[in-house]
Amino acid sequence: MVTVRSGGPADGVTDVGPPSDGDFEEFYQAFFQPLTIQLFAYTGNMAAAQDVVQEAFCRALARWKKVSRYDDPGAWVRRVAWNLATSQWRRARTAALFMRRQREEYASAPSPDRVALAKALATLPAQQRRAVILHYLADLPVSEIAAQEGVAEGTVKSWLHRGRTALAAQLTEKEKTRA
Amino acid sequence: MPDFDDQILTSAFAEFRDEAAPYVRPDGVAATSATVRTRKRNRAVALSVLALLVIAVPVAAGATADGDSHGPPSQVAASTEFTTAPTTSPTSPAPAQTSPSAIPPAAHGSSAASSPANAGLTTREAPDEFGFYTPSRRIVCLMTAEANAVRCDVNHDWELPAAPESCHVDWGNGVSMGNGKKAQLTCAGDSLQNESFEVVPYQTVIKSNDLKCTVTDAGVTCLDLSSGHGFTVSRAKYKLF
Repeated sequence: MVTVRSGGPADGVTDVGPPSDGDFEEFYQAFFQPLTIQLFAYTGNMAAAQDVVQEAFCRALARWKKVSRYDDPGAWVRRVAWNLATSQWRRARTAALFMRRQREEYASAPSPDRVALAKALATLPAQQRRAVILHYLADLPVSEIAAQEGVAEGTVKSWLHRGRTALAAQLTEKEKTRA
Repeated sequence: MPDFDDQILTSAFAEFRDEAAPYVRPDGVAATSATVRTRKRNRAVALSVLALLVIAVPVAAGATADGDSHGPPSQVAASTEFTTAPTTSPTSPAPAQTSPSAIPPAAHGSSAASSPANAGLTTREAPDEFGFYTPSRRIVCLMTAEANAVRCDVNHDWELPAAPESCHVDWGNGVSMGNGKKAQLTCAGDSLQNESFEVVPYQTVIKSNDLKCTVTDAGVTCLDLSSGHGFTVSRAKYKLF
C-alpha cells in the first residue's frame, strides 16, 4: 500500500511491497482534487489546472513502480504538476489567462469571497502566490515549501509574510467596501 | 496583526477550497491508463522508425555514392551542396564542356562524388592562382590562394547601388573578397578577361586554400571557409553574405 499524505520529501524510498493498480487508484483519488484546487488558485483557470494535474498523474503512472516506492509519492506528483504549471510555456500562457481572469466557466455564479480571493491572489508576484497557496491550500510547512521551491526557509517566510499581508489587506478592504 | 491576517486567510482559502471542489472533474484512472498506454505505443513506434532510419539512411547514402558517377546528380546531394549558397537552386546537369584546361583534373586532385553530400559535383584543387570562366562565359573569376582571395567579374543585369565616392573607376562589374574580409562589389579599372583561363564545367567545386567556389548553371558561389564570408553571382543577381 502506498502511504498517502500531503507532505514529505519526494526522494525517500521505502520498501512497501510491489505496487498495484489499486494503489494508484487510491493515490489518484486522494490527490487529484486538492492538487487541482491549488493550481486553480495559482493559474485562475480550472481547465489548465486539471490539464497539468492530469499530466502529472500520467507521468506518475508511467513510472509508478518507482514512484510508488517513494516515501511520499504525493510530493512527487505535486512537484511535477507545479513545475508544469510554472514552466516557461505554461507561465506565459497562464499569465495571459490570469490577467484577463474572472471569465467564469461554470454554470453557477462564484461567491463574492471566492472572486475576492482570486482577484487578490492575481495581484501577488508569482513566488508569493505559490508560497501562500502551498501554505494555505496544501497545508505545507515552510520547510517543505522551501524544498519544493529550491530556496532557503527564510526566503519562504519572507514571501509568506509579504503575500499574507497584501492578501489580508485587500480582503479586509473589500469586506469594508461591501459592508 | 499577523494572527488576524492568518484567520482571514485561513477562512478565505477554506471557502475557496469548498467552492472550487465540486468543479474539479478528474479524467479518472482509466483515462490516465489509456493515455499512458497510448504514449508507450507511440514511443515504441517512434523508436522503431528511428532505428529503421538509422539503418536505412547510411545504406541508401552508400548506394548513392557507389552509383554511376557519370549519371545525373541526385537532387538530395545537390540540395546539400547548396545550403551555403542561398540564392542558388538545385539544377539539372549541363553537358560538361571540354576545353583546354590549365589544370587537368587528374593532376590537381580532382575527385568526383567523394562523399554522399558531394555526389554529382566534381571537386578539384586549384593551383596558387587560378582563373576560370563559366560555360556561358558570362562570369570570369580569379582565385588567389595566398590571400584567400577571389574576384569574379560578371556580364550582368544587376541594379547597382550608388558608387562610393572613393570609387573613380568602374563600379560593380563584379564581386571580390579576400584576407578574411566580407565580400564587396568591385571598384576596378581593369578586367579579368583572359583567354588563357579555363572554362570549367557546371557542377564543379574549386578549392583554393580556404576558398571554395561552386560553379553551376545558376551561377558561381564562393565561400571563405575560415571566415564564413562569401557571395553568389549570376547574370540576374548577386548576393553577399
